[in-house]
Amino acid sequence: MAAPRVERRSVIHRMARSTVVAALLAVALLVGGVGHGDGDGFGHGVASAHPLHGGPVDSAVGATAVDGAAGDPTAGATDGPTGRDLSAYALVTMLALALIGFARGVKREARTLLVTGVTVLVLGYSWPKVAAVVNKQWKMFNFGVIKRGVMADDPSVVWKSLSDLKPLVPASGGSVNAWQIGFFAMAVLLFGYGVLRIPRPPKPGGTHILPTFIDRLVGALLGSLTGLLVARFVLPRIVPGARISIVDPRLSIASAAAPYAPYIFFGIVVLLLFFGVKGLGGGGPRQKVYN
Amino acid sequence: MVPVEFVALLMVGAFGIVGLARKFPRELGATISYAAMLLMLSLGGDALGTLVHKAFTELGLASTTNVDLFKWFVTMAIIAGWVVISYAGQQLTFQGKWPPNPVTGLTFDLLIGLFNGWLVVWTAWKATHDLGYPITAFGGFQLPITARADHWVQLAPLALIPDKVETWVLAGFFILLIFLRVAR
Repeated sequence: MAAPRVERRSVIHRMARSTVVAALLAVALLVGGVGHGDGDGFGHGVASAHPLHGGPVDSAVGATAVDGAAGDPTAGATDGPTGRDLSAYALVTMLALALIGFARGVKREARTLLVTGVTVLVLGYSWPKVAAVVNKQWKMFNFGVIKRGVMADDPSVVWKSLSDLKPLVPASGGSVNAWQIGFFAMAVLLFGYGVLRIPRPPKPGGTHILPTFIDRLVGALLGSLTGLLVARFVLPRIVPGARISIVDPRLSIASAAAPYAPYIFFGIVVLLLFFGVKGLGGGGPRQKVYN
Repeated sequence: MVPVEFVALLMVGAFGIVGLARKFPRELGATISYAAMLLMLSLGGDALGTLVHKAFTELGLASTTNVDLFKWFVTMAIIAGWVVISYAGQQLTFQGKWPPNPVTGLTFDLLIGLFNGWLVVWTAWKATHDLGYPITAFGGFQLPITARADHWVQLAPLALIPDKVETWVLAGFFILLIFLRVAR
């Protein structure tokens, strides 16, 4: 059996690698965050619908999403083909994160996908609770650190004085989308990609086992799923009513890929078989056994 | 009432869970069996139903009405029997070390399970669709199906492969899997 491929890497090498990953991530987030198409996927940006920057909202589909900000911003986009088709942006995000997944390997990418999935669930469905917890902690911070309530002669007076403290994080309203994106980006970057994690210096003579090609490939698959989650969370919060799907034939990506769908599918099957069988190991010199 | 496409998805999901439990080498062995089933259904699925119906009619065991329902039973019996045979007793498990990595292994286990599920469930659904959903006779199923179901049912293996090359593709797939199994 072949020995695993190993590499000696310095801290600088690892940090340079992390920087490349971070740069790709930034591109993915920029594509997801800055671009806002007008229906043609890669089309020109439309400044008219940008509620995060205070722009007017698409009255047909966006009002629900922004007014009911604590809820699901995609709510206005689920029925009918009225929303903006941002599937192409989602695809670019998926490709960028797939590339990162390929570079990082399956082990690290699985953690990122898990963190992203949990973050989507928590922020998407329990935002009022998240906001309440953060606001409570903010109030505690004010009480303990800023007002020094713990040191006060009568802490209850200080606590009461904070009763009309303006909440830091809104549970509803127009700015919720921006807050949600901020929290989402922070959680995914810090806990998913570990961008601030300082690489541990390698042990003297220590080696770092690189992911195998099959691990990288599955890492790319998981990375693309992470990209889909990122796009589905971020884009509708920037462009209300954004419609994102890579399988809905009414949208640009799926309709463009439709003629090739069988070939794409059979290609995936062949890859599954090839790398699956390859993953079973073996391939070394064979010996015939005679009885 | 649950739309038929969700029932199909649920069943494919169940196959995915089975894939996670049985692991890739075993599930790939089952794929060989399903490739054979598809080849058989492609070559003579309809003719087989007609033949069985004719034989049963001559024996006085089947009526001349509800022919489609009878054919449906024959097709489902073949598919269900094939699934049982694929999963029970001696299996065509691939040899080797598995998983190469826990997460990679899980992903491949799930994917091959879902793939097998798609082969079985979508084939059964397409056969039911082609026969005009004769199961409505039991009252548990109501027509019409949704537009989405109408679109999804066309994603069945035998519908995706062009008719002209269907036999070649299925036979090639079957022989490839047999080769991989023997070569290991």
